[in-house]
Amino acid sequence: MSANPGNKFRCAVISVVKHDYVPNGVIANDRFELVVVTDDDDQPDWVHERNQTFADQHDIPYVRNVEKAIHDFDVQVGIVSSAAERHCELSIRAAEAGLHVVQDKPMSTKLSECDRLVEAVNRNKVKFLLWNRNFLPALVHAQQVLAEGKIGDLLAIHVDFYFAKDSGPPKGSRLPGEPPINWLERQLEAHADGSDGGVGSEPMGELKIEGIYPLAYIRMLAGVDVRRVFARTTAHFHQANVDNDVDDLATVTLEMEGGLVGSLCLGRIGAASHPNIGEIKLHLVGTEGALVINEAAPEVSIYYRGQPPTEFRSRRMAIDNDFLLADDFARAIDTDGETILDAHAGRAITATVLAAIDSGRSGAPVSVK
Amino acid sequence: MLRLAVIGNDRDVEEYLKLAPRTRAASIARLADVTELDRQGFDAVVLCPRDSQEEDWRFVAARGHHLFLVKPPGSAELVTELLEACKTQDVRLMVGSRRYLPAVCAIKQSLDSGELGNLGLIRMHHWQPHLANLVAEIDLAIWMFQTMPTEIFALAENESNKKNRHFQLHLGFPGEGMVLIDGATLPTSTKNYFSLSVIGGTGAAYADDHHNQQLLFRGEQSISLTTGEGEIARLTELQEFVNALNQQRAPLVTGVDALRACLVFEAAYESVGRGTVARLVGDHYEC
Repeated sequence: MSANPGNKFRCAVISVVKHDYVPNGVIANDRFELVVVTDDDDQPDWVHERNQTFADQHDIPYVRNVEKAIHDFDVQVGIVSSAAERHCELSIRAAEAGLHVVQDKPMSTKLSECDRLVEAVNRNKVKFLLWNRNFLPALVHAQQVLAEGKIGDLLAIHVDFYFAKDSGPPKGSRLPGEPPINWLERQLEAHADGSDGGVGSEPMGELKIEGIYPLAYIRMLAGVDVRRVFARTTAHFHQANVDNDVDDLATVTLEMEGGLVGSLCLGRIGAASHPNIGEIKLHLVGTEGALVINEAAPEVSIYYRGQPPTEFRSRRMAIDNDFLLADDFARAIDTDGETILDAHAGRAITATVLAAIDSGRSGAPVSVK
Repeated sequence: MLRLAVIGNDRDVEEYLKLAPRTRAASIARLADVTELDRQGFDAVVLCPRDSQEEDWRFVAARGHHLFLVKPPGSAELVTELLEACKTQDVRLMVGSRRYLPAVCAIKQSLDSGELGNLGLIRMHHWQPHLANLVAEIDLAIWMFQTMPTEIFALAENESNKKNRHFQLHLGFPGEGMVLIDGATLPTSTKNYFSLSVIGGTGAAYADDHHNQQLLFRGEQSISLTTGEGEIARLTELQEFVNALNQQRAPLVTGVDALRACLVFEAAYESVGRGTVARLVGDHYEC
């Protein structure tokens, strides 16, 4: 697909069953416009219902044939926010059709799928952006401090990523004789409150669902690949995770290229465990100093009579992540450059996550493939 | 009234002397040297760190004085020797720890009350101007989990030199509990930084120096200033030593606790050297 500097990119939303924040985020930048929602005709009814709802909200057509929609609507960009196990397949089909691709996280649940996607993106010479949070103000600030050399050369980086949301019934709540929680049914129920980040038929733990965010921070700030991990993982909070044998709490030691080390604590720790979205911090150690970054900054605190107990008391502000991600994507297309989280980087993060899960199960350090 | 002698480096000794008016059922006096103990009839010694610390505690224990060792020895071998010496002379031994920090006390109380639910994860960051091992942080982890870790994996900047600028420790506990601790040396700073997060099944606690910073505006940049916690931690710890002696019971933090933490720390260094996980086998760790 040729560059189109300054002009609008016409976007096909290729399945939007999970997070509408991805296509809505892309159009925060007026270089992009949504022209069609599309998906495969053989998808279940709930998929079509969600796609149709999104199409109606944006007053654009919903076409139950992906290749036909791409052909008929003259699109340059595909935005994929399907069930996770379909991410790569849909992105590959978009890339094969010559579309630049924005894809929701995780990149995939399988490394082989990531490899296929990397190959398709490279061969078709299209751009790929894995949606992320690297342009949050605090991350931009951290990168700036590092770039200015204020802590010297980076030696270690640690991320605490505690996500204070519930995920259905708490651990230990299943009564004797009750069937285990069906993953997909639980995710479909969770759509109402937005806690369906693992939507799909394949159960996913928090490392797979949320791990991309902190690992993308580390990758951006350290600028290197992870070579080996040691992890502890468990289902500590939620019955759905216990029943489906996937983690909701994990700790990961990271050994990176160039002798850098790091660590990650990650969990969906429940809404009771933090007054806001969660305690999310970065700790960076350099040769000349160190840096502690609160990912939530800047915030404003608002309290009022009758405030719902589930409403966050501190609200993030000055967030321009959506616009900046889309801007980065447009720049990559215009200049034939790379995006802030391209297919290669997404594949590397997936490999780190999968190695951590393996390590958690085996109890031994695992090399990242 | 117990008579306590305080011996060691001037700065710490001064801090303990300041506590004298607030310490119940004990008097406190400075001694320049342990050899003066024999002449002055003290019941117990508060031994603050100094170069001759090893000789000091050997001397104190050999003469049967109860001992509060503010900074316990950093090796299991020395702690074992200390324990033997104390046992032989029927000396009560208490070792310094971070358990009495106000934030730590509050979190432990919340954990013990069940507010936080089943303990799942402890995360600590501890950065200091000078090198320090992570034995005190390891002790906190063992204390909170109430058992020894079964797996240890550690990384350090330079495995052949213990003067690392950073060190990180990953512990696994029975019941799938987990701990991550990182320590770093901040050579250009005069300040410490400590952060402790405790994640339980029904709640979480966050004690972070980052939360307790004030701002000073001077020159082109603002500077963060940590609001201090006064002398409460030191006083509470000292009072526990006094109470234990008066009540003729073991103090809450003993040499056995120091030994456990040292065993974990040494296994961590074994893990660094071998690049593998150290696992608890019986009462020791194997890589």
